[in-house]
Amino acid sequence: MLNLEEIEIELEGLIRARNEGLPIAGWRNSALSLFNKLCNSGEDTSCIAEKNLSKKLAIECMTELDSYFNIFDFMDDGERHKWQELSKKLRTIYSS
Amino acid sequence: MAGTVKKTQDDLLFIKVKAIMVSGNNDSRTGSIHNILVFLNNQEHKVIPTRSFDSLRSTIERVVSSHNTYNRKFTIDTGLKDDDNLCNDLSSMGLTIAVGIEASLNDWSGSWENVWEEWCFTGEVTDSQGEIGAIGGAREKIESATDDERIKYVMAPSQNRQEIINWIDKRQDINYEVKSSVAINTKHTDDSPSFFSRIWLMSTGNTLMWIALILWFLSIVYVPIRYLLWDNIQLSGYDNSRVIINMPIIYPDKVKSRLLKNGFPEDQVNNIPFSRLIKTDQIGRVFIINRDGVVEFEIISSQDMTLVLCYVCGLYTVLFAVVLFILAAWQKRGITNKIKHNVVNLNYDSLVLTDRNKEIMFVDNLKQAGKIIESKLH
Repeated sequence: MLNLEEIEIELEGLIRARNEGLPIAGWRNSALSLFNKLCNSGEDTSCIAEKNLSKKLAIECMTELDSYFNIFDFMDDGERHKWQELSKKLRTIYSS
Repeated sequence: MAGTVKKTQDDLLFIKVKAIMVSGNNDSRTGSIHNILVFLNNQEHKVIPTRSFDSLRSTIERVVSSHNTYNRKFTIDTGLKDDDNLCNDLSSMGLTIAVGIEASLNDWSGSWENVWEEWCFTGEVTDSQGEIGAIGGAREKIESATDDERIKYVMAPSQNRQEIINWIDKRQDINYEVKSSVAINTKHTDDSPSFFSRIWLMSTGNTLMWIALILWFLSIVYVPIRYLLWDNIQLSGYDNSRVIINMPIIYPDKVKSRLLKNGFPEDQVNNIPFSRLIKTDQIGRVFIINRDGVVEFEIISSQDMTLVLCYVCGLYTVLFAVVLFILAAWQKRGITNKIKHNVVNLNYDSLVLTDRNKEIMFVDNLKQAGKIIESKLH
């Protein structure tokens, strides 16, 4: 189960870090931390965006992470694949 | 796993609108209908995917300018995927985005949620006045919309009207009728407050009315309390030999026992004509004096203030209610007249595809588009 309160705090931190701009590392760390929370950070590469995520939270996570990956791009194909899977699930949640 | 999400109040912030785009290459261009999502946020304009933001920035700004809603921010999910091979740029999504924003800001967002699948849009918003300009690929777009059985209404720019008619004329399998100069009644009956709401609004409109309302409630409460407590306050004595009784007497036995308790001789008390004093039209007071065993009583003509207050309160209760009801009814007539004057004749051209149960509407600007949708919703 996702801890929604934790996700909200991570998201707020990411928005704050993006608005502050510098240092870039802050933005990067916040984004990856949220990304890993939403995905399964273990060995399993599947993403676990769950149905208990609200629509509002889902679209805000989607917007922030999409904005991050648009600028910083992906570390490798694994990260790209995980993001594609996560974004698909987030979109399903807020579009339902 | 993503699954069904329970509906919340926030759901109305997620407006879905269908846009018609053209995908493929020059040899195999086909129209495709996909869903755009508009979300009213509190931060800044955003587009998903972010790489499309620059293409849509001016469109969003024009739409927002035409609505005069600079302080409202929107997240637009274009629904685009990495492998989408669009032929045209995103500017033709302008009308779709505008409808989504309109639905987010208007009170018809609730109704829109039930019908959004029946509508699709294409059109470029060319300036901040909300003018709608021609789009490319009109033929492919209309073809895909006419083939989709769920779509009932298609909205396209007036500038593409002739091009679309020419294409339909070539199709042998589509019959159509041209409709024009359609008058639309834009009255909103739901906007007028209900009868009781109007009464409440009037009775709480200013401080004086608040005071009048509070007095009205006190008056309503006073009359029954006065009646219930009547028997308890009817006896008041200066000393044991003098008693004042307020009329009418409801429980004569209690009065008798009180007089006996005060030392009045029983045979004298029995001679008091209580039967005359229990009539409800008897008002005033009875002054009873025990003069060494001889009872004297006198009916004092002065009115009892509590009874006078009862009449005043009763009269005020009725008058206040009647005046409020008359004013509320009169105000309703005023609102109805106002609504009648609010009828707007809005003209637009459309093609009704008679055997496909579809209507293609041609519009010139966002205001007109919004009014047409609103009229179809009500």
